[in-house]
Amino acid sequence: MKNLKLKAARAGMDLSQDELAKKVGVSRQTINAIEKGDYNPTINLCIAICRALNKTLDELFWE
Amino acid sequence: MKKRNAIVLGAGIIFFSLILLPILIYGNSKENSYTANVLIENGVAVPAEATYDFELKADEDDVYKFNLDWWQDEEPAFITGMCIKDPDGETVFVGTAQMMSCDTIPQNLKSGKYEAELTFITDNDTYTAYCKSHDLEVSGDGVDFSEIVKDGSYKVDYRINVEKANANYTAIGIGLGIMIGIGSLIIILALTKNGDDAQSKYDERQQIARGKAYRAGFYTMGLAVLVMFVLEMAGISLPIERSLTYFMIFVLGGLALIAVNIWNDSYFAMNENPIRFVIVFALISLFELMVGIRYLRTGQMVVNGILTFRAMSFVVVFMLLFVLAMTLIKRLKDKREEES
Repeated sequence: MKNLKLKAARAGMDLSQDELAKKVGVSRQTINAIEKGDYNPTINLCIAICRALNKTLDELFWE
Repeated sequence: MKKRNAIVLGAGIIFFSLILLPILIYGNSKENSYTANVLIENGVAVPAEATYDFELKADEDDVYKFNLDWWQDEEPAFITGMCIKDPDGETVFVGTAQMMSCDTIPQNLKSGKYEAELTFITDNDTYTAYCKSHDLEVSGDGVDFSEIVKDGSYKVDYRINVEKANANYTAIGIGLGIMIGIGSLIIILALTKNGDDAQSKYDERQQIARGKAYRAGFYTMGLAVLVMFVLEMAGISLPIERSLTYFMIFVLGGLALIAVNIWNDSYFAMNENPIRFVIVFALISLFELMVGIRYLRTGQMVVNGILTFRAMSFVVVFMLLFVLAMTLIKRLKDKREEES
């Protein structure tokens, strides 16, 4: 299932996939895969993404 | 490992290998060559024979072999009969071939002056007479000289290389080649990285995908070995040299690994620059292609209907082109998805 909340939060901060990927230390393709719902990130990566986007886990990853 | 340290390590390995190269040069230094200019006129060779001498210093306790080579870019329009005689006039080698590249059976040799007698044969009667006078077996009905003999001028380089049979210079050469290859690979891998670190960095998704890719490579290689095993049990032999078969099985596994990796965006590490990789791959492909074409032109790639290990160059080119093609296809797919 697509993670539109993550995509919206990223766009809200005016970050590209590549910029967010650099902030959290992963590849651009991994951010893309998470947004498309092709990959379920580990809790560590979820936390890193939340910190980079100033969001909570609930806001980004809880359905 | 830091990028600078990796480059120093790679350069060190290459330097160490180059220091060992004189072993090969020394081992192959006892080379004697002779160039024959033969004119074929109305199907007759002029001159019909040639002789050349060479000196050999041999230890009585050692065993030697001759490495004979008169493989040419252009096939000579005659058959050469070569007879090598030792200082006592005893024949130590005799054979006939249009072109030849082979090692003789190891034997004890005496020191002194050796004589190589060359006979340029253009007809069946001379061929049969030569074989009978030198105790050689005449193959079948002889040779179809109408296919071979053509009027013209031919320059043939005959090389007789004498080396100790117990020192395997080919193995040393391959070993040094592999070391130089490893050294170059370390340098290339270090240079394709962004930043100071020479090690490839993969994120968690890429590591999972790489695990799947290794599994695919392992199963593909296992399947290929199984197929080869079944073929061998059934008595079916492929017209491919065994060493090349092993290499192709290895490459097949590698292709499966590469394909899965590229498709999952886990082939290139986060700190790798794909453009630099593509440039290096294109340059290696070009080099290997030139080597392969050379072997193809000189007829060393297929000998007696068997594909030899020299076809490895084309296998490597195929593998690198596969990587380039897969990368391109994946890029186009990603681009299309981004646009939609």
